Amino acid sequence: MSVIRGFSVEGVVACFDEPNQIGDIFDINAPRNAPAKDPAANLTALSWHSDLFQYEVDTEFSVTINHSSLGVTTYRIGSAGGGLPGGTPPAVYLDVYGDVRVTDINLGAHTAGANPIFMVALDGRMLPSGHLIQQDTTDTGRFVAPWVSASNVFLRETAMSGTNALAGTSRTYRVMVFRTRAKDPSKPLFAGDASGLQLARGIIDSSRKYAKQVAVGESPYAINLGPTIDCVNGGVRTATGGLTFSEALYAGAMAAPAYRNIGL
Amino acid sequence: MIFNEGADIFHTQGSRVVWSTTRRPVVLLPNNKVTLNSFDIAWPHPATSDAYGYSATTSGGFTAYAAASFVTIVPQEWDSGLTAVATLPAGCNYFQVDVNLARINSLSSYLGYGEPPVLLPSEQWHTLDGASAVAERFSLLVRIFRFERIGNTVYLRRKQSVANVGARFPWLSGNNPTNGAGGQRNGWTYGSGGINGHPVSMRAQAFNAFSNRGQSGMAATDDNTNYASTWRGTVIITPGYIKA
Repeated sequence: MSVIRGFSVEGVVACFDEPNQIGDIFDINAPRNAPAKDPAANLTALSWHSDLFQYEVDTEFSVTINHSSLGVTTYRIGSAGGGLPGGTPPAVYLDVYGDVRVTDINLGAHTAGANPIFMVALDGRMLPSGHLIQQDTTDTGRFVAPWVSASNVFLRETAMSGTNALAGTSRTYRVMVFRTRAKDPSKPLFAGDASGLQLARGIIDSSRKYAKQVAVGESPYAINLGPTIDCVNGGVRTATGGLTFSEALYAGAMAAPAYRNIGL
Repeated sequence: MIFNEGADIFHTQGSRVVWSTTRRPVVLLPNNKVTLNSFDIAWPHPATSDAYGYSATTSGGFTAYAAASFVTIVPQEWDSGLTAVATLPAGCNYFQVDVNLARINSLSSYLGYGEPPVLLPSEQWHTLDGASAVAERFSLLVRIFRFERIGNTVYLRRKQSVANVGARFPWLSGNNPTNGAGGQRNGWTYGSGGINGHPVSMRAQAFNAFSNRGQSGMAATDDNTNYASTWRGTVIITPGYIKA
């Protein structure tokens, strides 16, 4: 049976499946209340617990970024011999084709404060750091890695051209920033009125959104449960939401990890 | 409102489900997180060889010479293996990794591009999807790191890979800088193991009559570069659970 119980002495509120019906329902030490007392050892029985971090949404938005093109630059590196009367001096050199450009793109602002937990999704799948979003030819590529400051979410873009230029491209990213919320000792374990319900001294509130199992018909975001990046033969494979994305050079066999679909 | 339906509990706000026992929130266990301070993630200097170019031209009774040596990185795969860094509570099926790292040493420049770029901005926070990241790439070398879970233990793995795309230079036949009569040949030769090496840095130049490979006035071919890389900072590993 699923229950919501609060224990005022311990300041704990939890929603969980009772493992049995042994003991007093008001006693956190009773076997039936084990998930409330020791959430780490009873995770499969828990829906939520006031001591756990529930991914409370602070900011979410979609943003379309027009990634700019990168042309070809040729660098000549080498040595040239001395003057030669009536002739062309010998020279030994390499012509290196291509360019590298590193840019930090501001995706947008958040209000979650310093060092928040955040996620950035592309096409409904979380974005691995270093994900290849574009490869026009074998010697070009565009890689992105999301990062966050105390006020904004950014995308570090590393663009590379070779003997061929890298064309511009557009991508739409879904940005989600989560708030770490502390218990408010001035609030009760359970409170509610016509406007909503608050639980666990404000940890759970009707007015907020939380990352949770996705419902039928909802647009999901895939969170990966295993490694999402590999490299072999100088090429990278990223994997997310059950799909793999490989550079032309990649010669490995990493499979996409298991994942869970969540909604907000 | 909050209500039960059968054996399940629903918490709703209007038509929106805030959470329910059939739509459980994703949770992390902050009391069980592991914080690694001043933590190093490092990759070694890659195996290298050299490419040597020589050219002599005669005109008007005079001969001029030019030679240049290049450090090349050769195709290779390096895998650090697994290093245990944290233990998770049993029952977790998910863990989140947040990192704030900076590369702490300078690398040699490569070709005309300066110091190799970093794909993760230094001293900024990243939540790593799949606990994985591409850290660096230059020339045909790429470096990654990832945290992997086996049982209840979290391990760090680092990998470094250099592509094999065949010969990058038009090597002289037989890799021989001289012709059958002992004369010097114009062209490129490679050092030990360097037939498929990628140039990363010009090592030296020479402009004298004895500047071809193997002669007394040749340009130096020792490796004077350093592409070993160390990143240092904070890694936070937080266990969690996501209901299927």
